[in-house]
Amino acid sequence: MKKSGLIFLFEMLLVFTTFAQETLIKGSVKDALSFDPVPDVIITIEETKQTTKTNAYGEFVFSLNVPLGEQVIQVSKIGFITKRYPITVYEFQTVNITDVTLEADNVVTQDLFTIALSDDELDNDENGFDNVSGLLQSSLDVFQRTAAFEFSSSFFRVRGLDSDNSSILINGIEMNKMYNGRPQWSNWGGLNDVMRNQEFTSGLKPSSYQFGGILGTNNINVRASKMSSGGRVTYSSSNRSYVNRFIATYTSGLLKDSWAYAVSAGRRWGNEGYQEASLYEANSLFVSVEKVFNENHSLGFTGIYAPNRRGKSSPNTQEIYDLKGIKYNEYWGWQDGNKRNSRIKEVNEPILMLNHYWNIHSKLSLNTNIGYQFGKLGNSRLAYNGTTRILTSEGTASFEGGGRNPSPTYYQKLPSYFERNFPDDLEFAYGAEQSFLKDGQINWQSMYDANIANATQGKNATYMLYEDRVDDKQLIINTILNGEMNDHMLFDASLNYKKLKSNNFAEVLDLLGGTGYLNVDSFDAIQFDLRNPNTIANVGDKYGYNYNMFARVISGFAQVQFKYNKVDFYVSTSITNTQYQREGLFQLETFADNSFGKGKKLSFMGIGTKAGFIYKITGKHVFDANVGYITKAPSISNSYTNSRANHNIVPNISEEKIGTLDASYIFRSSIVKAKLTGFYTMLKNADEISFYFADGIGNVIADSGTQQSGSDDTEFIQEILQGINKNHLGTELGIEAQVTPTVKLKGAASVGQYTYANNPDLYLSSDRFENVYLGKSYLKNYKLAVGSQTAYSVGFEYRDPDYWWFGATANFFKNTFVDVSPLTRTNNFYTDVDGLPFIDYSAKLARKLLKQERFDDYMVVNLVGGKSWRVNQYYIGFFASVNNLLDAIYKTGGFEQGRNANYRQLRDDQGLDKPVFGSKYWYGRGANYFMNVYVRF
Amino acid sequence: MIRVLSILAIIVLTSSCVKDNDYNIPTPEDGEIKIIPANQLTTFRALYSRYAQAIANGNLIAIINDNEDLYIEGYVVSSDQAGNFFEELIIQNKVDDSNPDEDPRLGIRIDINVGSLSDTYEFGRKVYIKLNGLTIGESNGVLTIAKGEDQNLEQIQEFEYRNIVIRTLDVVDIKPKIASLIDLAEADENTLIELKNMQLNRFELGATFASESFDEFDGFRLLESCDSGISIFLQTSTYADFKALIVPQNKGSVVGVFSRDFGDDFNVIIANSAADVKFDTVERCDPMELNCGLAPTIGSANLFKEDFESQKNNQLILGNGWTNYIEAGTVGWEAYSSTSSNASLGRSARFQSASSGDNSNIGWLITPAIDLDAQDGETLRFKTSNSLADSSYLEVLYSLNWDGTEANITSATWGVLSAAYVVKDTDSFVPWFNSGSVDLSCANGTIHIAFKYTGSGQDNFDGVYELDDVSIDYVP
Repeated sequence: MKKSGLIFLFEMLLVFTTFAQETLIKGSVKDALSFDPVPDVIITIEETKQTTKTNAYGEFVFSLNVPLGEQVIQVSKIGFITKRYPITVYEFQTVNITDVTLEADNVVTQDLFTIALSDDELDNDENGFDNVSGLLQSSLDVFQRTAAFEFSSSFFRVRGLDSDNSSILINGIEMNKMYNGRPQWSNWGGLNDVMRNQEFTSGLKPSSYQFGGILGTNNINVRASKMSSGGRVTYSSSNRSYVNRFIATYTSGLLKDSWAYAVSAGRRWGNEGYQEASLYEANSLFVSVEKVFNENHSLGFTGIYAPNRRGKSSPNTQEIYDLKGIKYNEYWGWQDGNKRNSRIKEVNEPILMLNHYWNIHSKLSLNTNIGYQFGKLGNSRLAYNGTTRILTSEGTASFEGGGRNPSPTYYQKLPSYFERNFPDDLEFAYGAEQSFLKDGQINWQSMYDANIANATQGKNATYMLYEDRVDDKQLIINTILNGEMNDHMLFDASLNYKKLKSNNFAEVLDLLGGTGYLNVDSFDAIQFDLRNPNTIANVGDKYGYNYNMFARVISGFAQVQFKYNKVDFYVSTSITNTQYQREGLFQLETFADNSFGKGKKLSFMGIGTKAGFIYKITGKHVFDANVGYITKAPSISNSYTNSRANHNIVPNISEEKIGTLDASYIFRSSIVKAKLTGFYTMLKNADEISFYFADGIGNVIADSGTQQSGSDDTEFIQEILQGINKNHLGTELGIEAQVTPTVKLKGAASVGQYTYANNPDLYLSSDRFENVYLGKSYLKNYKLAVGSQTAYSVGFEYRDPDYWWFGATANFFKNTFVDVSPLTRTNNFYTDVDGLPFIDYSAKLARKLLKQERFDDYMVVNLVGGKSWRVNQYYIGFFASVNNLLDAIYKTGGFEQGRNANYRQLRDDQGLDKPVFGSKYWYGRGANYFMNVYVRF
Repeated sequence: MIRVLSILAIIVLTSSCVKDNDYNIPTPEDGEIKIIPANQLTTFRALYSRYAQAIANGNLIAIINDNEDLYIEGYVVSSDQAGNFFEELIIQNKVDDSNPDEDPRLGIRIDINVGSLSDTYEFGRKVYIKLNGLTIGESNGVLTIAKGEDQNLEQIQEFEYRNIVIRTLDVVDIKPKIASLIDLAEADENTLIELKNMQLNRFELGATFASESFDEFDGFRLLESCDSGISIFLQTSTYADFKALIVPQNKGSVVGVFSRDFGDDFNVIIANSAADVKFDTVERCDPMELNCGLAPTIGSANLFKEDFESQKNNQLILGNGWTNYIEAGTVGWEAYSSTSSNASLGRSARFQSASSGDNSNIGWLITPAIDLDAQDGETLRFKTSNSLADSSYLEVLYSLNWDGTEANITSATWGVLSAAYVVKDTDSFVPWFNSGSVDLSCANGTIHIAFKYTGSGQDNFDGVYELDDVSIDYVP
């Protein structure tokens, strides 16, 4: 037994030996904190590799062929810190090691061999990709863990599906946002310590809380009475998003007076992560109190407050990356000696919940919850078209003003623009390049100058910083019944009621030295609010648009599960009624009849059914299959064509339909665990709305009768893609092999093919025209831009008995595709303003122009390692990870800019060495690190 | 432990601030002030003469060497805030109408490929222009500083303009030069001018500043002086924020930059803002009008006919009852003949003020008296043409109270014949334009018809107008 300095490697323990007829090793295992017996602990005699497991009372015994002499016993269980005990075995004597204590090892269950992502990448929604690692991170399945921790920084999507197909619950209350169906992870970011009790059911597998999405359901249990007592202080450092993280947590466990409480406070901050000026400032506070009245009733209150702000970073064209590198971010500029980011995302949505747990009898429980969430979500950006109302001597008014796009990457400022327009004066392009290299950031000073000059002339601000705000108030009430009819049959049911009032508006944040900002669209002198025309908005005032979105969802769910020796199976069904209604608070002049007051109520009925079984051929070979068919309401964001402006809804809108099935073969031996899954999902009748400036839609504008000249072919549009079908087909493999007690090899692969399955209808809307049908968008067989469609990972973990470990993985990503622009795949592409094809249209060249870009394959190597110690009653842990060790440079995603909507424009632009409107890309991070130290007591 | 935790938490929460708001507002005083040595400052006049010299040497542009450290200082008098100027700055060297001989009042245009220039160079801002490597030439008909190459002017680019147009801290109150139209000369181009007692011509009143179907790039609206009757075009960009406003109906003053139209064909005034057209006096100064419309037929009998064939070339028109009165200047209506592309109709009458050297030329050619009560169905016909009208103009007027004496011409009441088409400044010089059969029959009494020319010997006001085939008929 070795004891050096601070380090304890083994636990001291009394070993009782008694004389008996047999040679026995026996003992019992208890939880170090609760002293409850721990079943299913694997006890190994290291020399002979004999193993046994503890029973329900935590007891074990070795009675056959027990080796004599000095032996080492290993006590291990997933989720606990493994211990080793030296014992001496004498013939015909019993070695009794009673009350071995095992400590729940949160590091093992959560952090070990993982890359802490949950508060890092999860809410990086600016790039259009979202992340399901928050869903999967509590899974023990090797494929899902690989997807969560190794693949997710490449924006890999499991089965190519969006995170709106996953359901995230806290204490049984669904946290997915009704706006887009996705979970807003940052609402509880930085509270890792109290979010460790997670129940994940993957895919269609039955969750006892609700029907769930087709990717799976994760219920995060934050009941204070279910957390063991203790405290923990964590400090982390990283160069990914935040620089520092600090979390302190204390949980009481269930106290003698039947109260339990848990508190956690955290802060994550940094002026700059990997991307330039990506500031991060997040505080988190968590309080949970629970009173256990008696065996049957318990009432808990939980409050979660996690306000956070982060600086966003921009996608860029290849031209910009070539000049400025992958850390470049166009959104910031120097001010007052600091990098000021113009695009800050701020989330501040506290959650309050009351949870009642009622054990009606030992086989039946009812859990009733009330949740209330309120607060704000804001995304800031610059406005640059402030205007001043000028009254003539005769009382008529004009609106004079407007500024320049302050974006340093505005296309007219880049070398490509000059190369295209002044090919004979390359000194212009050179000058622009030098200027962009030297500066290339937002010029706050010039905006202040302009506004201050305006102010001295009695004019309004031209520039300002505003925030697109969503202020939600959401009430959720649900009740969940779980019962056991007999040993073979379980049933679950729930009723849910959800009500949302979402106030959407833009708010002035900073007038940048100006005096006020006129609430008028200076492009066309359109009043944003006809009822209060010519209002001058000051800091804190609403501007541009202002409306409420009301939503109400009522749903019910019922499920039966049967469990037998050879086969388990289940059937689930759900029914959901969803209603949306818009209420305009501003009367937009362009849509004076259709913007103010309440719009039509939209109502959808969704029905879900799913069933599946597990067939246990033997203990080693298991077969599993699931099938589901679900109809569901489109999200709010996909129901309204331009909710900021008017009540218009997507033409022919109806429920989305999802059909999905998967089948798995599972192999489990003492060394190898493997799972092979095949899946097929079809999404039908989905909608997608996008907003952008389109160039080359002269024929649409001409048809609207508003074309001002032949060159008038540019418009800010809403593109409505309606009736989209998608196919998601593929296989997943996860395999791990415990080749020695210390070394585990692991591998995972996902080979998918995610494609558009039809040619959906495309409509365009703008201030000048409404829902103009452009026919089909010929998207069938184009690949979906859902990250890498094929990904592999191989790696190993080494875990030393002396409490240190390390692991490494190499991850390979293939078949990543750009997001194609649907507009260029319509007949508009070859149509001239008169409705006839361009005379110079070449189908061969068109095919080349419209070919979907596939990004280069790449490999990312990740390392992780750590160590833990015990000092008196404190446990100290340390781990560090390095992502992308080889500093590979790779694109994780990108999209075609919609500006070149027709053949001629696309041809002329793509024909250039540096297209002016080339695709915009996201690049992965280069080599980056994460370090973590904690003390637990 | 809890205590340690709380202390730690407090330390973290207080020490770990992230700078993302609460910025100090930058003030313009933060900027560096550039001092230009006096020997590197040159005058606007020097630039004008450099350009004149280059032209004299057969070049189209004057180039300033890269290593020639030369600056001018001036004041911004244009503003693109309302979109009526685009990618250009107009700079003048004086803050008011002072015009010393050694450094006369002049303006210059700077061509920059950047929008929203008034964000940086607002109206009244004093700036230096660093001339090294720049070019002086004529563009839009006015003297322009730009980049140049191969005898062409090219725009100053975004990446360089801040180093060329250098701001000072001074923003001054610019007092426009109050001028009458007749006095405006080339030296006033690119400077801020105020015209008083102006109104929009009565035929423009329903129109917008620049949103009519025929407005291409710019809308031109005829502004006329209530004092002299002389007119000038108000030029408004079709991208201006106030393009869709109806032009003001009253009379008053206009402040704007005096310039030339894009094709360098005529003078214009360009307002920075709709508010610079201050027409706050309600009554207008429209002339008396006779408008019986056009007659459907012409009577077979004639009261007065003139084809000028019997006149002598380059001699004043005489005889046949004409009154040829020179109100101002030294030239009058003369006969001429020409077979050029600008041909006469045999022999015709014309008024030509060019090279007269006069500050003002006003000439009247008046028909004999016609008694409208003696017969029915009187009509007037004539043909007019111009040869580079250069803002000078021709009016066709009538009077019912003129006594026939030259002394009383200007005191008589003259009105316009609204139905007659008279060649305009903007019309092509080649064709002759028929007036149409102007019906006179709704008037009573004795009428005189006058052809009145207004111009001067100045380059920008010295156009030529021609007249022929004057005929007054009636239905017998």
